[in-house]
Formats: sequence, structure tokens, C-alpha cells
Amino acid sequence: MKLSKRPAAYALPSYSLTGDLLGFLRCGLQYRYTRIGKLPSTRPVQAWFGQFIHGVLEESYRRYDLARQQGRTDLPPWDDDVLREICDLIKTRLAAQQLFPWGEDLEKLGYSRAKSAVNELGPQLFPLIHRAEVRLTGARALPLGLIPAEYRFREADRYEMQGVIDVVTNVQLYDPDLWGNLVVKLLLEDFKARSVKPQAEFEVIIDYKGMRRPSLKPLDPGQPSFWDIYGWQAQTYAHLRQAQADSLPVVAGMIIYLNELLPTRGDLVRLKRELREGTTDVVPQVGGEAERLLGQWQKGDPMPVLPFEFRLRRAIRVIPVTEETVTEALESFDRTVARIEVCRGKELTEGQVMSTWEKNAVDESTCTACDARTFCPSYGVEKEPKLPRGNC
Amino acid sequence: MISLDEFYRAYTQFRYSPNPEQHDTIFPGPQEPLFIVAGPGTGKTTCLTLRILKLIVVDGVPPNGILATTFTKKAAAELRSRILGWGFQLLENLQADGAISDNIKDWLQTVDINQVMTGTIDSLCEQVLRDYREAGSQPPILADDFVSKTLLLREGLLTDGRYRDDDLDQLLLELQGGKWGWNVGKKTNLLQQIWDRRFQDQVDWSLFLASGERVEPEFNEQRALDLLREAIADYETALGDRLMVDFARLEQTVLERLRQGVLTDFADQLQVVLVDEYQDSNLMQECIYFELAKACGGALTVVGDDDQSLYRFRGATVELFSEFASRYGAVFGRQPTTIFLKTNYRSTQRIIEFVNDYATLDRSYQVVRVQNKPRLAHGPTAAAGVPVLGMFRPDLETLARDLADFLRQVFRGSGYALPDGTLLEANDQGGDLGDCTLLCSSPAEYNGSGKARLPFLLREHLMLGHRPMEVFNPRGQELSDIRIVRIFGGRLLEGLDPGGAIEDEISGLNGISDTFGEWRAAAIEYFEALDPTHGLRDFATGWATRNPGSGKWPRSVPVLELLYGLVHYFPELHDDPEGQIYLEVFTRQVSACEQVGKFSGRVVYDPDNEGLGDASVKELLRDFLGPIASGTVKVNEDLMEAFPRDRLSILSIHQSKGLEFPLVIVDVGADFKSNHKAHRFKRFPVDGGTPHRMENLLRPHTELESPGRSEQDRAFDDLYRQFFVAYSRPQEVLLLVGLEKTLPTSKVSNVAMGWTRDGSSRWHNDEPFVEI
Repeated sequence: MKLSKRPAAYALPSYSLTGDLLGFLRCGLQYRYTRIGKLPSTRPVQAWFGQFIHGVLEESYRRYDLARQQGRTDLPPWDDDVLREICDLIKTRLAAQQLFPWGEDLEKLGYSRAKSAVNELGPQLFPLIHRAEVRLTGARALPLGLIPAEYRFREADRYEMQGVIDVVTNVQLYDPDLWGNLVVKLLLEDFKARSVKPQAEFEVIIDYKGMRRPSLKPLDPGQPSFWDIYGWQAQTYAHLRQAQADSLPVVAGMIIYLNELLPTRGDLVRLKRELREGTTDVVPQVGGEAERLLGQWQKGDPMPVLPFEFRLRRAIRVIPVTEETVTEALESFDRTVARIEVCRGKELTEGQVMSTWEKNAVDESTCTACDARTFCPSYGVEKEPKLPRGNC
Repeated sequence: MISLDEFYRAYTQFRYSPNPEQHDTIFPGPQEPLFIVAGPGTGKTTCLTLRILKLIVVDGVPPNGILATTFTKKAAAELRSRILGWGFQLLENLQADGAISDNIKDWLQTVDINQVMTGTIDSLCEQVLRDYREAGSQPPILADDFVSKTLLLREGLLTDGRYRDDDLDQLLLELQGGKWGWNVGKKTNLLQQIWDRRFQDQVDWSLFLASGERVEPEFNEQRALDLLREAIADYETALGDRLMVDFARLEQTVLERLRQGVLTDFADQLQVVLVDEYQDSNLMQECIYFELAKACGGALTVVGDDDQSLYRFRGATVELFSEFASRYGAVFGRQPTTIFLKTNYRSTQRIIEFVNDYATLDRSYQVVRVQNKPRLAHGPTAAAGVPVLGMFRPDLETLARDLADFLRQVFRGSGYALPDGTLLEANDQGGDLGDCTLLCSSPAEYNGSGKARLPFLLREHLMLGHRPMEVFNPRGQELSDIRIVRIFGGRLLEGLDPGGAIEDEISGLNGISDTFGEWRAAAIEYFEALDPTHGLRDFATGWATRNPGSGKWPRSVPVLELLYGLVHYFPELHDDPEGQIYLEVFTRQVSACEQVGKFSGRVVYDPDNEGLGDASVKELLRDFLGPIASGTVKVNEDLMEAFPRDRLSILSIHQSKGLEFPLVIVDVGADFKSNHKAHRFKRFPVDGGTPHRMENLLRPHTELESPGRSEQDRAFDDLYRQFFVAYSRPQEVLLLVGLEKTLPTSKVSNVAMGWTRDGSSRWHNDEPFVEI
């Protein structure tokens, strides 16, 4: 009597756009350790920054919305006391999730940036918001053609994709309350430049990024830049959102690079360099205030306050959504899923981690902040861990 | 919408057609309440999945109007995978069906199956509180088990020295049932169980806290309850201050909000609720399900099997399932339709017969089963199969040796010849050890006295010979005994507190100091064997002396820097998938320290105030390394991809729930040489355990009232169910193993060997297995 063979469990792998795909594209090996292996980072500063400003913006919107539901208009700008209370609340919430700013300077910058986001961006953005934190899911065929047979280890033939849209806006072009709204103005300028004629009512999905506007220059010309990758993310979100019952036509995605609202000294130095090299797409108007301030400013000078409209233009990136662009983005998603599945299959087959995962980081900062940098075979700068040093 | 015929036509292109009893679970309309009693292997996940898909495409229920929940994360993942996998295949087949109109096809294209809400009750509660959060409220931040225990210990027991109070001690000790291993960790566990059951059983807390009646020379019950009130209140405050909820509070919050009618957006979209593994629900969960069902006109489907209820120790109340029809009727004023799924598609005819007979051996057990429950029937294509087998040997060593030989012959040799001449062989199309499992009451390799158990001896014997075979037993060894954990833990200790001077000042490290000592010894031995130029030497010495070589040591350093620095020198931890799982335990514990500690997981260095630095190290020893050394923290089994194909999986019976294997070996008595009272609870209980005593204490103050059965009977029922689950796992071969002393003809009473409550074995004169 021959025993039967126990079938593999039927479970669809689930991949999120930010945690999984962007994580893997940043570096496959780091993704293996931090996402699959759940190993925390010693330097979660970026995570704190991003989540802090997200949290403050969300909480602020909820308060605005509550007032609106009660028949009151309570648009920012708000007093410092109100903002500090919101910031403190979010700080406590993040601490409960083991996210800390680890330094007074960073915390101060976070609070200042959050204040700028709420008080300057909020009045433009909050009236447009239809829903905040919208969860998305979808399923696609596993790209088996891209996964060699020896590394296929699942019974499932599909995978689940997941994501969370920070904000879904509902734009009614003929709503008089939106006349003069700077976000709508930027959107319409973009549509006009592309000869797009939107319907009277449509959706734009918005994703906040706790970073500066990326340079157009790819770090590695052989690999997709983060400019492209964030573009795919917006397209995929649009595709998943469009499938939801309460969705209006999604005509565009919008990324808001929050650091542009309150740039640091380092950000301005990089901006000036990019302006010189022609590697950024939003430049000051010739003869305008922003051009004058940037031209005069030197590294050691006090920080200039650039005009809000210029900072907002730098912060906002509009990504038109069409059937073609969505298809292209989904195919990119598939290709990345296949790369992850291959690495997982190799690890299962070969029983090792380091040799089986892609080491594809192109950004030096990804490696310098990585806890695997000393033993990573592709990073040669630090070969042994250093002992802590500081000012005692 | 499409017709049911069209639905089945599309479905049967990739799966077998459901049988009539399965059809009965799929066919009813959305509003029909269903009580599905599903025996093992009868296809309940299939039925649930098909019911959900049918509700969507035939009845037109919007996917986001369906909520389906189950007991474990793995079961929830499987259910979701089935819904999506089969759902999309079904939709594709419907699109290709020439008999379906274009209008309907257009509508089908708008159906988004992803929107079905699936998950465990905890994950769904978290999702609901997060996604339907009303303004002004905070999103739930879940405290994991360790954080809960740490706060209970620190705020509940250590505050005002409550852990030393004799009255509270006595109250908790009576729940434990004996002084064995009695320490503050055990008290914390019991306190946590009381806290959980307060919500799970919907205890009238004030009434309970005022119920102290006993005043004895050495025990004042009311005083103990007063202290309990304070301890629990302090814990609750500590959670609230951190904006945290634990699992019990999370579910209770959802229940309260549903009752207050503030989750209207969520409740309004709901149309059907389906609950799997209902036999392991508690009263709080029943209340949640009933509240949800009220939002959708009573459209509730529950699925489960009382014979497979294993989680009383986590608050499950099996009566909520077995009496579901009347309980539902009392709330909704109508009776649910009861459907029995009895056709088993998993096992051979002989195994099904064995399981049927086993379930009906004990007369008293029949009283607690669902009324009119039919016997399991075999599927139309089920083979008769080989008889149930038994391997019983005079001693453990011989048993382990012969069992290893059996496995070697089946999976690495030319087959094992059964007494009737049948040759038992592995599948020739890739069959391997992964087609088999050994189920035990506990997969631990050693018993409490440090003696080797069957899992250890079997592992040893499987490794012998020219074709060694490995086992997969993640719970077999205490984490703290694993070589790499000992060395790595020792290096962390030596880095934080070289020589243990600070450790010596910590009180309350009961039992942990010995393990710390072993870890340090292992680390020092490892260190001494290193090459003199090995980089670990400088790194470890630098940390131990807080001397960075040049410059100054910082005032505060995250302990993660020490941890990851050390990981560099241990390829087992950064290059071996198994080592990654051990490493995750250490990092998870650091995170817990960050959440609850005063120093947030950092090592402080202040030459002017050495006490501050020592305090930060003490906290790390107590809250970071202590729980790993004491065994409180376990590996995260979710990180393991699957059971390896080339290893023998050794599982507890609880772990095996929901699984099936071609060959299942059940340890029915490898630990029992006599009727010794120490292991009576594992083979023939004469009194209850902590879960039963906890029920006695709290249930009188709930709407459930005092349990109707004695402690002993409930303990007996629980053990009976365990072996019912074990015996119903195999597809083709069931092998019972144990010592000869545990055979039905011997005097060792044992529920797994056909002993009933009257003190005799029904198998005494007629063993239902063939010995090999």
C-alpha cells in the first residue's frame, strides 16, 4: 500500500505596496531581515518621521471633519497649543508602537514640519478630503512565467495585493468653495498641460511621503528610480480604488512630499545643486521671490522662508492615471512579486539567507542605516561592527 | 445575478460537485440562520467558501456585506485564500459561459470579491475599531502577551507588595491547584486569566468582587478579592495611559460600541455573518456575533464541532455551540436550521469506524454532545484501508528504536510489512517524511524531571545509521536550551553585565539565574575557543568595559546596537533561516522592553551616577533576557513557511487541529509506566485543572451560571475530545504508540486506550488495533 503525498497548504501570498514591494526594491536582503524576519531597525528615525506627520495630518483632519459635521468651519491654521496637543498625542501613540524620535532636534523638526503641514497645507487639502486611510486589496495571477519551476513552492496561483491610501479626495470642479484652492489649481494646471479634460466630479488619491521631492536623476540607470516606483504605487492604488463600490472615476494620483513644506538646510543645499544640474522638475519662476531667495542663500546663512506656493509646487506631484499607465504599473508589480517569490523559493531550497536574496540597494543611505551592513556581502564600507562612540 | 445551476456549472469545472448535505449549507438564502455541525474531514471550509461565493453571485450580497471569521490566523488565511482563489476562478468561468447574458457578465465584472471581510475575531475587531473609528477616539494599539504580563506583574502584583500578600496568594494558589513551581510568574499568569475571563465570560465584576465569604484562620477571601480589584484596576490604568488595549479589552470595546450603536457605518453595511470553529467561542464572542447578526436581521451561520473543542483553557465554552439552536432562538425568536455534515472525505473506512466507535465509548460523554449527532460516514470512493495499528514496547528506548526503524523502512527503505503481508510504502512520486506526523499531548523532549521523552529518543534514533532522518519540532526544546540561544544570550549578558555583578543585585529572578549562569558559561567557553585575532574579542571586551578604544562611550545606547553587533559574528543567526527565528525572539523582547520599560530598551552609561546605568541594565536583564531564559517567550511559528517535506513533524494535538496527514502516529502512552498520580490529568483525570477551577470561581457571577458538570467530568470530556481530534487526523494510516503497560489489558487507566469513566477499558477484551 502506497501512502499518498500530503498536498501543500493552499494559501495566497499577500504583498503590500509599501511594506513589501517598496521594501524589496530598496534592498532585497534588508527586506528579508526586516519585513519577513520582523527584525526591528536600530535607526527607525525615518519611520518615526513619516508616521508622525501622517498621524498628525490624519488626527487634524478628523477634528476638522468632526467640526464640519457639527456645522462649524474650523479650518487651520490653528494655535500652537492645539497643534502641540495633537503632536503629543501622536507621539504617545507612536511610542506605544516602539517608534521614538531619539533626539530633541529630530523631535523639534518633526513638530515644526507637522505644524507647517497642518497650518499651510491643511486649509487647501482638508476641504477636498472624502475619506482618509482607505484600505485596498486585490488579487492577481502569480506571474509563474517569471518564476523558474525549481523555485515555485506554492499551490496557490494568485497573490493578494494590499495597500492603504492616505487620503481620497472628491473634487467637484464647479464647487464655489474650491475656487482659489491651490491644490485644485495645481491639478487643473497639470490637466491642462496634458490636455486632459476631467469630468465635473472625480477622485484624486493622495499619498503622503515623509521625504523630499526626489531628483529626476536615477541613482542606478539600470534600475527603476524611486520616482518611477512611487509612480507605479499611485497607479496601482488608483486601480484598486477604482474597483471599490463608492469610488468616483480616479483621474490622478497625487504624492505630497511633506519635507518640501519645511525644508532643512541640507534639503536646500541639495535643491540648489539639482537646480544647477537640471535634475529637478519644479524650479522657481524666473524673476520670482523664490528664485531671488534661493539665489542669495548660502549654506551658512539663516534659513529663508520660501513662498508657500513654491513650496507647495515642490511638494505636490500629480500622476495622471490612464488604462495604459495602470497596466504598466501592474506589470511592474508582478515582476517585483516574481523576484520576491524567487528569493523565497531559493531560500527554501538552499537553506541560506544571504546568498539567496537580492542585494539590490542603489542608495547609499539605505545601506548606512542597515543593521546588516557589516556582514552584507555587497556592502564593503564597514567590515566589522563599531563600538558606540559619543560625547559623554 | 446568476442562477444556482450556473453557479454550480462554473464551480464544477475546477472542483467536485458538493454532496447533498454540503449543498444544504450552500443553498439557503442570506437571511437563513444556519447551525452547521461539521465532523472532521467533512469539507466545512469548502462549504463556507461556497456559501460565501454563492451569496455574492447568486443572491447578490455585496462582498463588503459579508463577514467571515475563524479561530486561528492560519485558518483565516486559508479561508481567505479559498475565497479569492476559487472566487476568481469561478468568475472567469462565468465570463466564459456562453449561456450567461452580457448584462450579467457586466455586473459580474463589478463584483470585487476582495472586499469580503475575513480574519480572526481579534483581527476583525482591530480592523473595525481602526477603520470605523469615530472622531475623538483613538485607534487600538495592541499590547502583546508579554507587554500585558509585564504590566500585570509590575502594576498589578509588585505595586504595594501585593505579590507577597497571603490572602491573594491563597486565592491564586487554589486556582493553580498545588504549590509545584509556585512563583510570581505563575501568579501573573493566573491574574491574566482572571482578567481575560472577566470579559470572556462577561462576569458581573462588582458582584464577583463582593462575593468573598470564606473567613478562615489563614484566609480571608474578601480581602483577597479586594486586592484583586486593586491589582486589576492598576493594570487597566497602565494600559489606558499608554493608549493600549489587550486582546480581551479589544473585543470588549467592540462589543460595547456595537451595543451603544456607534459603529453604525460598519453595522449598516453588514448583511451576513459567518463564524467557523464556533465550538471554541466564549460568551463575549457570542455576544459580539449576536450583535452583528442583529444588524443584519439575524443572518448568522455558525460552523463547528463540539467533539473538537480544545480551548477551554483559553476561555472557550463548548456549550455555546452545542446549545446554539436554543440560545439563538432565545435572542432572535426563531430557530436556525441545523445541518449535519457527516461524510468524511479524509480518512479510510477503517479509520472512520475507529473514530466513530471511540466517540461513543463513554456513556457520560454522550450527554454533552450535540443532540442527534450522526456517526461519520465515509465518502463514496474511500478505501477500506489497513487496520488501525499499535506499537507497544516494554520500555521507551525500545519503542523509540522500533518506531525509528518503522519510519526508516517506510520512507527510506523498501517498505514496512504489516502482519497481514501488506507492504506500507511511501509515495513513489515524491513521498517523504513530511507525509507523516507524530502527535503527542506535549512535543517537549524532556519531562519536568529532566528525563528524555519519546520526541527526544525518536530524534536520536532517526539520526542513527547511514541514512539519517531529521525531525521538525519547534516546541520540542526549551528555547533557552538551544545551543545558539545559550551562546548568544550569554554574550549579551556578558556585554551588559560582565561577571554578573549587577545580576546579583536583582531580586525575584527565581529560576532564571541558573539559566543565566549556564548561558554565561556557554558564551565564555565559546569565547575562549576563538582565534586570538577574532573580531568578536575586541567588540565584546569593548562593550564589557564600556570602552570604545578612542573617544567616549555615549550616555545612552540602544541595546539593539549590542545585539546586531554580536549578530555579525554569528552566521547561524544571520544566514540560517532557523537562526533568524531565534534572533527574532531576542529582538521582539527588546521591542517589548521599549514599550514598557523606563529606559526604553537602552543601556545608560553615566560615570557620575553608576546607579542609573546599573538600573538600565537591571531592566534589560529582567524584561529583555529574563523572559527568554524563563521560557515565557516562545518562537513565532508564523515565521516558519511550512512543515518541511524531508522531516518528521512532531506536534501537540492542539497544533494538529485542522491538519491532516497520510500517516499519523499518536503517542497514547509513552510516558505512562504506572497509575502514578502525577500524570493522571494526561490520561485519566480524577479532578479538574486550572481552567475548570477558574470556571467554578467566575461562572456563578455570569449569565451562564455555575457549570452543570463536575470538575472531573469536564476534565474527562476535554481529554476525550483531545484524542478524538488526534484519531481523526490521518488519511490512510493511524498508528498508536506507547509502553506495554498502557495497553488496554494492563492496569494503567488511560482515556486514549478506551477507558471510560466507570474505570474500565472497553477495549480490554477486544483491541481495535493490530499490534506491530
